[in-house]
Amino acid sequence: MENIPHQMAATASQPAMYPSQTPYPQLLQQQQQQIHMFWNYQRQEIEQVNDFRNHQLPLARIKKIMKADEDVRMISAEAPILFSKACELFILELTIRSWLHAEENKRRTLQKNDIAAAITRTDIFDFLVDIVPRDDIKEEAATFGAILGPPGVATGATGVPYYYPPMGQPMMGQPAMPGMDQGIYLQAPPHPPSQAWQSVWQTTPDDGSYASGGGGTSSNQANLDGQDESSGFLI
Amino acid sequence: MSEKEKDVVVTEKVVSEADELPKTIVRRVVKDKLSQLSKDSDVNVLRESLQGFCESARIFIHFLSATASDVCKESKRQIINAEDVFKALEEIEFAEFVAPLRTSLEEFRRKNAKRKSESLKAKEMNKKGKMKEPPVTNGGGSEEEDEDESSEE
Repeated sequence: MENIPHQMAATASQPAMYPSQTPYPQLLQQQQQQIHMFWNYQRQEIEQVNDFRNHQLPLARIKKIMKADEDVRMISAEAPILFSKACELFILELTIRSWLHAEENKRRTLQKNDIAAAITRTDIFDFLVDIVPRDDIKEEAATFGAILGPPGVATGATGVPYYYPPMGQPMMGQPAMPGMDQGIYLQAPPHPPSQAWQSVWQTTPDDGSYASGGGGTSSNQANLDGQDESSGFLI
Repeated sequence: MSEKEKDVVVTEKVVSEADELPKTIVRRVVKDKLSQLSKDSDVNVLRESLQGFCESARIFIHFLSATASDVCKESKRQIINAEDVFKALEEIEFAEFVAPLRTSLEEFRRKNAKRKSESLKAKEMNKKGKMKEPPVTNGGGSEEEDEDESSEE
């Protein structure tokens, strides 16, 4: 939590990017607490990834699934190993995000609409959009659409920024909030927030800081300290 | 209500069990993670939710392998190798997976090398024991088999 004043200072010094005043300080603090909790879970995720648990998905099955695509012809011996691990990481990601949604709705059971919500919320899961039915969350999706606006606006490189609503809170599309939100989300800093994710995955967080930017991705190295200014607000 | 569900199942694409990822393993991955996330209380996973995870993972494999295949073709090669997969991950914006996967791959390569050298040693012992036929071709041949075992599919 000690990073928060730093973040506020950082953002205050860059008025072009963020609103220089924070109109809803208590709400913001609450959000940041939730963000902190969120990143704690992410940290566990990282620790797990280096755990080499033996959940090995059967290579033969994976090969079979891969070959169902006619374009995929020859595969090296190492590829299914990578796919198996990648698949496991993917399932973990999906689990975390689905769980967050269930938590927000104060449920102890993971339902299909939790998965659907996780898919809708996460841009990189767009390829799954038709796989899990999303009738339950049409409303959520509409709200998101209103907040994020046109995809190309926010960031340069990767397109739509990542956006995770604060946990346990109603959606950001409340009447009191939209102005500020749009200000924040549409005026993203040059470094896409997805970089924050990459650094989380690729480094082991050292202290209690947020997405402690490691040397994971090259463009993150430029703002190791100030990196949280983006993740703090955009996540 | 159950009839309605039945109808839904029929109209959705039905994939045979043999083409899906094994539910038990997926379930284990999910449940282990959930027990980490929610230490004080258990989180349940409905059967249909598990299905959602399995399906999503399967589509992920398709997506990643199609992308890796494209990457491979661009480099004018025939065999999808590890680097193709890494590049594909970056393309589909899962770059955060790359580092842990590299670590896994190193581990696998180490283990594999160790396994091979151990099996080679065992063969040498066998050769010494037999003292009859020239063992050269045998040793070389089976090593190649190991490496190329899945290169032609």
